[in-house]
Amino acid sequence: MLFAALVLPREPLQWTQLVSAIHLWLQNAGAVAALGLGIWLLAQFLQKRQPFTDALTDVPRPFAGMLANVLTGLACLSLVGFLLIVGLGIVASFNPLRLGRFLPTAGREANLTVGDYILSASGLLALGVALTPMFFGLLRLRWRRIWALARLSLKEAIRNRVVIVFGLVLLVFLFAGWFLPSKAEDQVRTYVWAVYFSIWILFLMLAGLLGSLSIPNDIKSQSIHTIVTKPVEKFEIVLGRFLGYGLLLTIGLVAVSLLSLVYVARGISDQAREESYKARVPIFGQLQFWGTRDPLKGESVGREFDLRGYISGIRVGDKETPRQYAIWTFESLPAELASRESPIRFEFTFDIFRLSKGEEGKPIPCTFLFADGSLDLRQIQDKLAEIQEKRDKRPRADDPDEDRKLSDAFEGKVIEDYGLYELRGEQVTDYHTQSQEVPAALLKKLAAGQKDPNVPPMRVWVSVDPAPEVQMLGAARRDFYLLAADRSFEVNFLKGVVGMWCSQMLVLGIAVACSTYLSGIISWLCTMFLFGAGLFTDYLQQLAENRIQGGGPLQSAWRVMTSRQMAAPLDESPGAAVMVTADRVFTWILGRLLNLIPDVNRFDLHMYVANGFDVSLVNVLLIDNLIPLVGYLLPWAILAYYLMKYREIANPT
Amino acid sequence: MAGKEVIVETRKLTKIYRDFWGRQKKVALRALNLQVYRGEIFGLLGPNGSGKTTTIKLLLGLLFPTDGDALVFGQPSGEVKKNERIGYLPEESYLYRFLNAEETLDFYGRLFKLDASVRRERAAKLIERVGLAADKKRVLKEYSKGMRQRIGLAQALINEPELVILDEPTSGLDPLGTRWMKDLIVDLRDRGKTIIMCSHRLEDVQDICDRVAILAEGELQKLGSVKSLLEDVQRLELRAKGVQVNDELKRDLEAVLAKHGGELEFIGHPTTTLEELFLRIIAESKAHPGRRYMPELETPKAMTTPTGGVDAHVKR
Repeated sequence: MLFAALVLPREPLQWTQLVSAIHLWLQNAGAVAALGLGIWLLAQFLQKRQPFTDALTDVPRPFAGMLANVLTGLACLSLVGFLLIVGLGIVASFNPLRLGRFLPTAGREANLTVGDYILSASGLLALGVALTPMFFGLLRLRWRRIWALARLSLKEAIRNRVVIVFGLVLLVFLFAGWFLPSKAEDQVRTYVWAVYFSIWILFLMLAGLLGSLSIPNDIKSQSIHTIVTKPVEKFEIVLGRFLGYGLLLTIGLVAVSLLSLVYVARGISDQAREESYKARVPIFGQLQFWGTRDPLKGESVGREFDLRGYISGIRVGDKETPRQYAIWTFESLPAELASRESPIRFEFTFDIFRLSKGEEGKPIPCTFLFADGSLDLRQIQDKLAEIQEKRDKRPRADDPDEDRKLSDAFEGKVIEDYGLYELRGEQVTDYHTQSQEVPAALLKKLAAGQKDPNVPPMRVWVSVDPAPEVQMLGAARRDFYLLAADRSFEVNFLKGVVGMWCSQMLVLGIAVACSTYLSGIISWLCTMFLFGAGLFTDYLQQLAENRIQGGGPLQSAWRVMTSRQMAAPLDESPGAAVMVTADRVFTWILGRLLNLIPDVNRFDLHMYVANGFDVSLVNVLLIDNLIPLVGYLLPWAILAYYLMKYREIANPT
Repeated sequence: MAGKEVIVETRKLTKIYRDFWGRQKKVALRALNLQVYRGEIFGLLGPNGSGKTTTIKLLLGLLFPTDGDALVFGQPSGEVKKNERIGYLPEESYLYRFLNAEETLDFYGRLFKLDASVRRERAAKLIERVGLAADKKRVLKEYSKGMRQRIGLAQALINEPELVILDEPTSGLDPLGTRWMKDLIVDLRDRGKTIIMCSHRLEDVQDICDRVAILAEGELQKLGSVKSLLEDVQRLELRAKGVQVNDELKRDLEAVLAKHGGELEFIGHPTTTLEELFLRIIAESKAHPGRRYMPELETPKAMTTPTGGVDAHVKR
């Protein structure tokens, strides 16, 4: 088996995180809405106009006045909520009465604070106020007109030969083979990466350009005059454009993806096909360590990429040094597995860090202990000793086949009585995907034995066996998993494309929304800037939270100019204090702006497909891709609605 | 005009163009008061930048008034629903050039609540009416300016509108196209439609408009029926036939006019308009194919022609 490991930059969103994600969304989208409302209300006040009367033209007359007053009140209430939190933040910075604990956590903490609730409620109010006039406007939208405009966009793109761009992907298919390495262990990975990357970049540019240029071109060429002078709501033009181009991109993406799938399937070797041309459905446990200095991170071997924590083996005969363990805790076991009769397969890919010279590629022996999750190490060791004692005394037969039957019966009884299964001396090879099979009876026993839902049903304890030379074993959370099923690579490849589709729709949505107000090229630049920034959200997050060594931009610039070490503290001087303060202001602003930047990395699913892991329909596609996509595009849609509604279509003549 | 149904009304309609910072750039229209009645052809006249197109764009909701009101069918101009009863032909026919005539009309028809069969039927009739039946499968980018104007008019009529707004409908058309357009506008009026058109081709407006508003610098200068505006009560026009202009006739007429306190300004034969002349010639050329006009050539003095010169005449 070759190397296939799932390395994700961050955990996908989970159902359990959805509530705090909704809070965060309400706070961010609501803050943008509240800011817009605040400016607009101020403008209305200065012009001595009754707010919302112009915006509620779609509302029946008798209710419009009353509704306008209600909306004005709610908007003010929302603004008060936001101002309250801002005030609380300022006061809390001086730390009286430990007010900081009431401040919003912005989704960083599992428990929501009072500030979170106030901010979410204020955001909800602001969004509600912004959505109410829009809601009445949306009632006038007609699918017939939207579809007509979508068809127009589709025809326009096809007749202007935009589809030729899709043909550029063929170049990748024709010539990628020249550049891609042919090593079997990398073949699927590199093929998938090359195909995904080329499709991704091509379609992304196309989505950005189509979305950015369409409405501004219509306005510039005045073609839009013949549309808006028909009974067409302006937002129908936005939706029609989005839908038309979205459809074109979707059809193109499906076609190109199918072609590229054929390219990947034809191009890879049999060895690579055997190893990675699949979609494993893994069940991951939570990783922790025992006997190491840091129970969460394990030992460090000084690697720059600190994905894996390490456990050390012990020398043969060393009774002093305690054994170290990497422990995977499985919080639940699917009922389907518990009822399975065939052995259950576990797969793993570990890093061997050699402390002494050895033979290249030689495996090291390890022990895998599958145990009831309620047992601690002492209890497990006691039980193992007891089992060993019984094992030594078990009845034996002279005939090897007969003896094997007796042994199997004994081991089955051990599983039944103790809920333990031990695999000793398993040869683990560096960076190779290996597997073990565990009797189905074990999982049945463990699943049935789980009485308390807070106690995990199973833990797997992995340790390096004593050997003449000490070696270390590196493991990350996803390096060991229960293989629930093997699914089709082809379907998984297309599921990975859905992530790509999400990023295209995101770009298209932003571009179309921007183009309702900005010129074509400026819309495109804004879209690409947002998307580009979205690629670096992790870094920007660190910057916004002052987690970057060397401080903010001013401090860093100062260090570069004065050739100071990044870790060295700055001199205490008025200049340094000014720099630190300016950096704090910068990071604060960045922190707020960060909420507007889409996290586009979540849509990159190529690592699942390339490494042969199933893209979960619910956990990855729905919760981590589609819901955030809708959540991000919704505020843009609101913005586009108002920008389009209140813009003059004609230019001064 | 009491008792006539008002289709379009502007009340102190004002449009001021401002820059990004809200600073005033230009007053495009100042306090315009107008009423357009059902079944008339109303012309907006004025030089470039006088506010004609701005008025039309305000009526269509393409621009928002800075002040005042623009009402169409009694509804504010921003109201989308009114557009169901309006047809609009922009100055340039800004249609989608990748569509052909049939697709163009089908697309615009889809924007109204028209069944597919009705759309097809109307599109076929309109294509026939605007004379593009032979070119209905060609994409618009292959069309000439006149053809685009014709299909533009067809799209404006796809919903059988009550009010047709035409921005420079004859702009860029040849005299034949201009005549066709004018006949069609009059025909629309005769079918009960109300037409608002703006133009700076005065002869077009004079020919077909019932009432005109003359704008200059964004302000209304004159408003009324064409006849009443053009009538010069200070002068008298007399037409006669069967007599040749000569000195005696002139003297006699001067004497008669002097007796009534008037003065003869001009006496001569009437001339037709260039447009009339052009149309007549074209009609004759169609009636007599192959006939051509040979201009009289001036023979250089140093040269002699074998026939001793060329006559200026019409040859068959």
